[in-house]
Amino acid sequence: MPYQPQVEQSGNVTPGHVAAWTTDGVIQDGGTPSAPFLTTLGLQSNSLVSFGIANAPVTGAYNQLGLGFDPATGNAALSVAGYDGAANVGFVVIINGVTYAFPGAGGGNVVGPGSSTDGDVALFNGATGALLKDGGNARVAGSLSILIGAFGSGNSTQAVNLSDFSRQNAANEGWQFFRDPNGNIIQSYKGTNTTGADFITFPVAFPNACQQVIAMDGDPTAWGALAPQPVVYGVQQISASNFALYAAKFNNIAEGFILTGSLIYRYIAMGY
Amino acid sequence: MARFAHFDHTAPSPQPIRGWFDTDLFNYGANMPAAADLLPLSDAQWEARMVPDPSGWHHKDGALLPPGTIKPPQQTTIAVPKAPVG
Repeated sequence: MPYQPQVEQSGNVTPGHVAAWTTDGVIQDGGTPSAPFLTTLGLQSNSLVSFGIANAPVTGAYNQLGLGFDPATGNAALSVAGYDGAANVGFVVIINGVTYAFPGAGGGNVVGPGSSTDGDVALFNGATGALLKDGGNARVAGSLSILIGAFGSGNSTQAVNLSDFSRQNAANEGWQFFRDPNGNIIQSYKGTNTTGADFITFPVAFPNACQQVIAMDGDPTAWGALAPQPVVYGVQQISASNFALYAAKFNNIAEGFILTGSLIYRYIAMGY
Repeated sequence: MARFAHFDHTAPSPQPIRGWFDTDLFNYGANMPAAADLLPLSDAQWEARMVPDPSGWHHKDGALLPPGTIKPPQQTTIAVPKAPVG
């Protein structure tokens, strides 16, 4: 295009509007949002507010809506800020006449379904981490409250330690323990005594105390069939780590109960 | 070490193991025995306490003695009343 030291004006112009080229050597008023004439506008800038709209003259207090790139992070940014004493203003997104406040009242920034059931748990809908859906049967309103963490979990919001409910020793049919979220512990065990008056050591000591031990015979077939020689078990001296187990087997010849070893017993112990 | 065998160090040796403590599993707080009464256990020793039984173990000079190593006390007879005759 040849150099032209002067341009011509086409039509009326309004002060403050930008100029738009009409054709070679001719410019016109750039128009308004309702009557635009600009067909493209390109900016090359790495500023936070490369394109800014102020709601008042910048000689006083004003708010500014900015479009640009955040130099600190390199992220594209749409920003709102008050300057020179202007009160902060919110940011809304208006879609087809419907106003959506951003961020929402709770400070969240996820998108959920059009409706949901009060109290239902919200689930992520997809893998984007941004969309929520109603959790259906998972409901917490009035029924589940996680105010303190599971006993010993060290996590203030952990509901349970699932490991507390697992069998600790699959090789021994007797030993299991589980602990409820309040710290109550049950241990069970199947073992063989030694003398008939033995201290039985729990597989793991209770943190505070054992409150109850119920022991019984673990091998009643050893009583015999024709002249049964049953075994009576007794428990005392219960501590957090062990208890005294007495096992007396009836002896037909002695006509009495004799403390006997090598007997299979079972017990359930409860503590905390 | 987070697992211990508990014994009374003031008792004559070998001292019976009175309890098994797992501080990873439970917080014993003030109920944890004194350090002098605790024998730190390796993972293998902890697992072995169940074989054949967690009862009957003893401590001697820093070592664990499995059940059966120490001879148990003699058995006692408890008399029961005879059934009335006639």
